[in-house]
Amino acid sequence: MTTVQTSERATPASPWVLETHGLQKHYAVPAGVFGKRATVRALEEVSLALAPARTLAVVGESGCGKSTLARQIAMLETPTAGRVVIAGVDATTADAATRRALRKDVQMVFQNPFASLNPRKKIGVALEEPLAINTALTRAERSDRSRAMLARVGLAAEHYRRYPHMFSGGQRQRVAIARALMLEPRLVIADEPVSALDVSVQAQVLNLLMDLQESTGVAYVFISHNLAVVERIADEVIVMYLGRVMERAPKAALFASPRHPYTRALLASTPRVDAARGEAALARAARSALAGELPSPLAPPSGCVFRTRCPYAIARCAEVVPPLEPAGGAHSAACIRQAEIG
Amino acid sequence: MTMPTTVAAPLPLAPPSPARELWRDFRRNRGAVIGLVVLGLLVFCALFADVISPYDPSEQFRDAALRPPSLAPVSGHVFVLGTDPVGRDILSRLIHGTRLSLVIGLVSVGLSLSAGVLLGLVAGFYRGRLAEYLVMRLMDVMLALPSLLLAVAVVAVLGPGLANAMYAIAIVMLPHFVRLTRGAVLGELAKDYVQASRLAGAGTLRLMFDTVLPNCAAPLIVQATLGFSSAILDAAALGFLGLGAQPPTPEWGSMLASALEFIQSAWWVVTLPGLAILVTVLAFNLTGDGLRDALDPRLKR
Amino acid sequence: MSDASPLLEVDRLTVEFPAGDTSLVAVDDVSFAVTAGEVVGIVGESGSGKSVTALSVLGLVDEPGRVRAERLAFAGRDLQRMAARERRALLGGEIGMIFQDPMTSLNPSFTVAFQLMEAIGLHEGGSRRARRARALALLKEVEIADAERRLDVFPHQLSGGMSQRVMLAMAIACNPRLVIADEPTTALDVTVQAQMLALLLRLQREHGMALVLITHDLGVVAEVARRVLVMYAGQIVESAPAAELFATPRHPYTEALLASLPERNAGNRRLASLSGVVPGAYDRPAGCLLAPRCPYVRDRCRAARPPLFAVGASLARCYYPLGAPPQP
Repeated sequence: MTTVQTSERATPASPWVLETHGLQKHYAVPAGVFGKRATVRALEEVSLALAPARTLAVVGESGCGKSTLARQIAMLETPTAGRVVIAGVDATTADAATRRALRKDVQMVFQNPFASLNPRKKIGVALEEPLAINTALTRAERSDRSRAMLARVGLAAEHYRRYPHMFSGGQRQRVAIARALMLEPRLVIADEPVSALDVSVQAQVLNLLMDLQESTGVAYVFISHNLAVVERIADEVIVMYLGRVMERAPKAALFASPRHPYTRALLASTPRVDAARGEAALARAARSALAGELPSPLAPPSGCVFRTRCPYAIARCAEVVPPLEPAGGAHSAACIRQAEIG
Repeated sequence: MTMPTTVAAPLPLAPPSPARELWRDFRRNRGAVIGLVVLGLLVFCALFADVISPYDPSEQFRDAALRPPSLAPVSGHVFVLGTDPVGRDILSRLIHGTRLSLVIGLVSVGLSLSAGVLLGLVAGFYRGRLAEYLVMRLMDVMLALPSLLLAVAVVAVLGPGLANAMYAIAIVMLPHFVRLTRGAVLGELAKDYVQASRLAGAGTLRLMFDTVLPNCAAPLIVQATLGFSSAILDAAALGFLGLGAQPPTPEWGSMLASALEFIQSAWWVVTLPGLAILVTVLAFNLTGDGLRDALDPRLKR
Repeated sequence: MSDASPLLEVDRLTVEFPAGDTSLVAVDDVSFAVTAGEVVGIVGESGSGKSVTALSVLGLVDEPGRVRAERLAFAGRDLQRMAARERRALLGGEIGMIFQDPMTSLNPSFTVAFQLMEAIGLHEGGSRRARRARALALLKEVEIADAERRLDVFPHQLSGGMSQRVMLAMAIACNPRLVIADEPTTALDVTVQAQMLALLLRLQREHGMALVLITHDLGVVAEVARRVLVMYAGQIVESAPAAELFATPRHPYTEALLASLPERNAGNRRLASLSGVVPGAYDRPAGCLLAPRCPYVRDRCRAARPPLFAVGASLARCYYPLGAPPQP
C-alpha cells in the first residue's frame, strides 16, 4: 500500500497550513423590481490560523457564513477583501499558475453524498481524475494509487468499477474522502461531511477521518452545526454568526467555559441523551436561550450582530462592533460584556 | 465493536451496467420496442436499398405508367406497389427514399445537435455574461419565427435542393437544442460534483465536455430522437413545396408533391409515400418516448 | 402502561413494496399502542420503516405499497374498515401530522392564511372572518412573532423555523387528539430546534394531545418522550420507558446506537461503531435481522427470527437480551 506523506513535499514557508486575515465576502444581489442592488454581507473580518495535522471546527447555524468561508478557502471564489494564505503562499493575490499549483494543497468534501459524485463516472475514474489533471503518472500508476486509496477508506477492490448510484450515503462519503486525498493535500475542508448520514454511519466516517489525519498528517477545516460531533473531532473551534466570528477557543476550553452568549445558547440547545432535563427545564432553557429570529444578511444589525437575540444586550452593544478579545490563553470572544457574564 | 477494514457492501452479484439497465427499462414499453423494430427495418432498407429494390428508382417504364399495385405482371415486370405517372416503380422509389429520409434525419439532427450543444454549453457556463446574452437572444429571435417559414426563407437564400433543405431544417431545430442544453447545464452546475471537479483542477473545457455534458445527455437523446421525425416531416413539407429534393430524387415528400393531381385517379401514387412518412415518424416518436421513459426515472437518482 | 383504552392501536402492521421479483418489506409485523396524552418516540435510522409506519396509520401509503394489519384503530374505530371519506375526515381533524421538510410541506403557491383557513374550513367550517381570526390565533399560539403580517406571506418568504411553526399550526388547527410528527426538527438549526421542541411539548400538555415523535435523533427523544420504540429494518427491536432505554438498553442495536453517539464516547478518541449496513430488499437474513452485524451473535440468532420478549420493563426482540438471562 502506498503510504502518503505530506513531508514528501517541499517544506512550506510558514508553520501554518492555512491562515486567513480579515476575510470579507459580499455578494451583490438584485432586490426589487427595478433592479436595485443590495449587498449580502456573507463574511466579515474572519481571521484564523490552522496548523498541520490539526482540526479546526467551524460551528454555526444556517446563514452564519460557514459555507461561504469554505468556498473562499478552497479558492472557488475570490474574497471581497482580506487574504487567504495557504502554506505560506498568498492565494488571493497569486497568479493563475500559482493558484493551480495551490489546488493540490486544498481539497474539499461536501455535505450531500448524493450530489458530490459524478453520476456518469465510475468511482475509479472519478478517483483518477485529480491525478490525470495534475500529475504525469501513467495509466497504470494512477490506477494503482486509486485502488490503494479505495482500500484505505474501507471499500473493496470490486467497487472500483461501479457507479455511484450503487452505493449508500456512507459509502459515497468514503469515496468523496478518498477523492479529496488523491492529491495528498495539506488541507481538507469538510463541509458538514456527516450531517446527511445516519448516526451509526456517522461514527464510521468520523473514525475514518480521524485515522486518515493520523496517518497522513492532513489538516481539517471541519464545518458542522452539530456540537456533539465537533466535540469529538476538533482541536480548535470557531463559532460564527451572521458572517462574523463570535468566539474562538481550543475545544476543551470552549465546551467547558463558553464565553460568548451565542456559544452558550448553542450548547444549551443541543439535545443530549444523558443530560435530558425533562419538559419544564427544556422550556426554560429554550426561553432563555434565544429570542427572535436570524436577522437578514442584507441588513445586519449595527454594532454587535448578535445583539437582537442576546439575553445580555445593552445599549452600547448597538454602537460598537465588538472585536475578538482574548479571555485567557488562546480563548477569545467577541463580546464587550464577556468578563461580566460569569 | 470495532471498525472493519472493509465495509461489506450488499450489492447485487453482477450490477447491471447503465446500458443494460436502460435496455431493461426500455423493453417494458411495447410501443417503444415496436418502434425500434420498425426503425431497424428502415435502416435495413436504407443500407441494402440497391440489393433489395426490384428496379432502379429512376428507370422509367413508359408503357407501364400509372399502373395500380398488383402482383400480376405487366409487360414482363411485376410492380407490387404500382407505378408513378412516368412509369417508375413505386416500391423501388420508396425503398431508396428510406435512405434519403434517414440521411435527412441524421444530417439535420446531427448538425443541429452539435451546434446546439456547443451554444448551450457556452450559454450555461457563461451565465450572466455577454456570451449568454447574445446566444439566447439570437435563439429567441429564431423561435419567434414560424419554423416552416424560417426553413423556406433559408432555402430561398441558399437555393433549392436536398442539401440546402437539410441545413435549413438544422437551423430551425437549433434553438430547441440550445435551450435544452442550457437548462440541463444550469441544473448540473449547481451540484457539488462540478465543484469537486473544479477543485481537482479541471479547466472550463474539461468541465464542459467531460464533467457536465454526459449528465445532460438524457434529455438531449430524447429530443434528438424526436427531432428525427420532425426533420423528416419538414423535409417532406419542403419537398412538397418544391424547395427540397428535386426530381428525379425519390424523396417521399417530393413524390407526394408531384403526384397530387392524381389523388383521385391513382391513389397509390400519393397515399403510399404518405404512409411511408407516417410509419417512419411514428416509429421515431415511439422510440423517443420509450427512451424518455426509460431514462427519466434514472435522472432522479 | 396506562390501563385507559388506547387512543391508537396498531397490531401486526406489515407494509410491502414490490421490487422486481421480490418485495421490499418496509414494515414488518409492527405492533404498538398510544394512550391519550402520551408522548411516544419512534427511533430508527434510514430504512428502519419508521416513516412508513406513520404514513400507513394515516392511510397515506400509495400503490404499489400493500398495507396489511391485524388491527389498525383510532379511538376504537377500525381504520381499515372505514370509508375513505371518513378516514380523510380523521386526518387533520382528530389526527394531525407534521412532516420533515418545511420547505416542501407547505404549498408554495398559496399564502399562509389561505392554507390555514383551508385546513380549518375542511374540518370546522365557519365564515371567512371567523376562520381568519382562528388562523391568527393559531399563529400566535405557535409563537410566531408579527403574526398579523405573517398571515399574508408566502412560504418561501419564511425561514425554516417559521415554516415548521406554520405546519404545527395547521396540525393543531382542529384540536387533534393525536399528532404524528415525522422528523419535525431535523431540518432546523439547533437553537430553533430547541424552541420547536419546547413548543411541541407545551402544546401537547395544554391540549392533552398524544404525540408520536418519529426521529433518528436520540437526544431529541430523550428530552421529550415517555416511551420509546426502536426500529431496525422494519421491525420494532426494543420498546421501553425512556429512562429505562437510555440507562439499560436491552437490545444490541439500541446499545450500539447509544454507543456511537459522540457524547457517549467522551474518553475515547475513536467512536464505537457497528460494522456493516442495514439489509436491503435482496439480502434480508432468515434469522434475526441484526445477526450479520451483531457483536453478540450466536447460532440460534441466525436460525430463527426472535419475537419480542418481555425483559424487565422493556420489550426486546432478542434471544440474548443484554443484562438478562437468555430467552427460551
